[in-house]
Amino acid sequence: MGEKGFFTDATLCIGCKACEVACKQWNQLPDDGFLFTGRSYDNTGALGATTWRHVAFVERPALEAQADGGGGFSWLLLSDVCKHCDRAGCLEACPTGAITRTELGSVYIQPDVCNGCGYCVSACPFGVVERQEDDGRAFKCTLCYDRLKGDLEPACAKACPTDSIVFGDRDELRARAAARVDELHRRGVGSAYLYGESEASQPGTEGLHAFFLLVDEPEVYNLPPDPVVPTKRVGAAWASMGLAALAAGAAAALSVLAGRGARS
Amino acid sequence: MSVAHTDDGRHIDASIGVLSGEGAQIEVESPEHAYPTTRAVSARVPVRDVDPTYYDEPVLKETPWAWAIPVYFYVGGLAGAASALAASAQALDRRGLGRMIQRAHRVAALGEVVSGGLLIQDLGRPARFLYMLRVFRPTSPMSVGSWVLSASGACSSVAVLCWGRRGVLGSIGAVAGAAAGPLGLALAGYTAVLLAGTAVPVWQGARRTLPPLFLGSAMASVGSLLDLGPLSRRERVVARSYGLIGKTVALAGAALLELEVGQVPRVALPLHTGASGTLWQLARGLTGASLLLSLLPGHGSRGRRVASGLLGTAGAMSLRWAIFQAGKSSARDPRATFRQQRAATSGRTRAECDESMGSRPFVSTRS
Repeated sequence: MGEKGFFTDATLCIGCKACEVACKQWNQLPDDGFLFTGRSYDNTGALGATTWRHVAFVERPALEAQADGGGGFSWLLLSDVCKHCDRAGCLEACPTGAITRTELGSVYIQPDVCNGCGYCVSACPFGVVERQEDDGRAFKCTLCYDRLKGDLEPACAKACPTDSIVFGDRDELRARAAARVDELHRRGVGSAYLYGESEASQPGTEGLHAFFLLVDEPEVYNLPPDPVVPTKRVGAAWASMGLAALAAGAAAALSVLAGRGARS
Repeated sequence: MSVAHTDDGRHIDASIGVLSGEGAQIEVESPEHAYPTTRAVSARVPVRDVDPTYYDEPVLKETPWAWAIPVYFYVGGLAGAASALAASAQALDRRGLGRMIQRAHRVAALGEVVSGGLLIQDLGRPARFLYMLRVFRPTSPMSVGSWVLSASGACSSVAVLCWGRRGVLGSIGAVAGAAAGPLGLALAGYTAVLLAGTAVPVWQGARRTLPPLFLGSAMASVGSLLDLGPLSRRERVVARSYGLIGKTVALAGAALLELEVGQVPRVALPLHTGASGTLWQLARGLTGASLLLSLLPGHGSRGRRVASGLLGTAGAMSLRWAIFQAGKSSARDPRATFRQQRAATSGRTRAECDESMGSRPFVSTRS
């Protein structure tokens, strides 16, 4: 099997949350409690250790093209998931080697190796990975590694009734996504674009295995506009530390020499 | 028909279902803790503003680290800078500073043991602390740091155990003590790289100034700690010089950090508001007061030295705590992340990017 991934098309999502439910059921994830946010229909809130798919309900003023009804109001819906970045911040930050890249290109946390240091949580530029405090380890979407091994597509993609979530070979998904953007542009949705489908569109992560078709700015969907894997920038910090350490060593030597000058 | 559920929130009938899914091994000890039914959420009216967020919900996850980590930043820094001072004294003035070298090695060895304890305490699975040394991953500052802490802990301990011995043991001790110096500097500095190597806006935005700030603060910690005990005249000069340089670098580093982070004003917000802002001002005030006390005439008196040492220690501790808290609130603020990334793409909106880049929106203009 080659590189696999998700193409999630926000224009097709109807907000049914079947992906959330299918993911919970298949992976046997524990409950998140019955939280009522009191806003929109999003009572899930965010991705987390026990929530590996999350449907965002974005409330917007009515669109100009919206002819009737809607109460001056329009929806944007998107099913969010771990992006399985080509350069994964969590993987490069993991000190134990618990986070690995599978043969399918996905990023997988091995629970039997994770020691719960929590560094991947801060290293993820998308806020996907979370440490489950009761358990002590970090968890996130596995791209249904177990289902793939059994020749089944991931539970969320299987359950999606509108094919907003499509699973498949990465190259085929890219072609499909590009065709979909062209089609939308032709039909007048000029704001449609792909988020993270290639290194060119998202150099900070070098592309995502789970990429998206959006019709508004990424911030609206709670996606960072230009995410950069922290490891790409940490060189400056190491260089600064090296120089500072040399200076500190010199300061230690100077202090000792100052003491030699003093009469004891 | 009633269904016999497992009581861990999976709602699986244990007589029919088998727990074998990818998430099945997530342990739930206390359902109340694992499934909070109350959580602060913001309710926003749908308006199309220039600066959109998703109901002001965080885009990043806050670090799960607790109190042990900022304490470790202080203790590890103290131990590392003490090793550096001991190694340099050992090389340049072994006879004149013998007692201080021994004391500094002891501070370092004890500090490194305590550091290990603090880190293990904070692991979600403390029993698995040795997994840190399963691999060496140069891309991970935490992996590098784990190895540095282990190596410097070993060197400092050998230096302490072999202190004053003659012959082979004495030579081994001298070599270990010398090696502990550079390892100690790495230990005191890597924690800054650890923070800078995250997606947290305020930590990442301080990647150039945070390492000198942490190293300066570590030197100040050693000077302050030595000031608390009795010292000979020569030791006093050494401790005071080391501390003075450290406090000055820490104060200058704090000012520079505000400049570096302040390039995107929203990212610098936690340094000016909330608990982290208060701690940050407190840290600078305490360090400044300690510096002033050790500069004023009469700084050699015992009372003055102890006062300066206490102020400097409190200053170094609150400095680490301020940076830690600032990162927590920075991760909660989606606008900090968005504006920092927009600033890197020259603040252009998607439409503007579209115009100049054709079909490649959001491509950063960074080279």
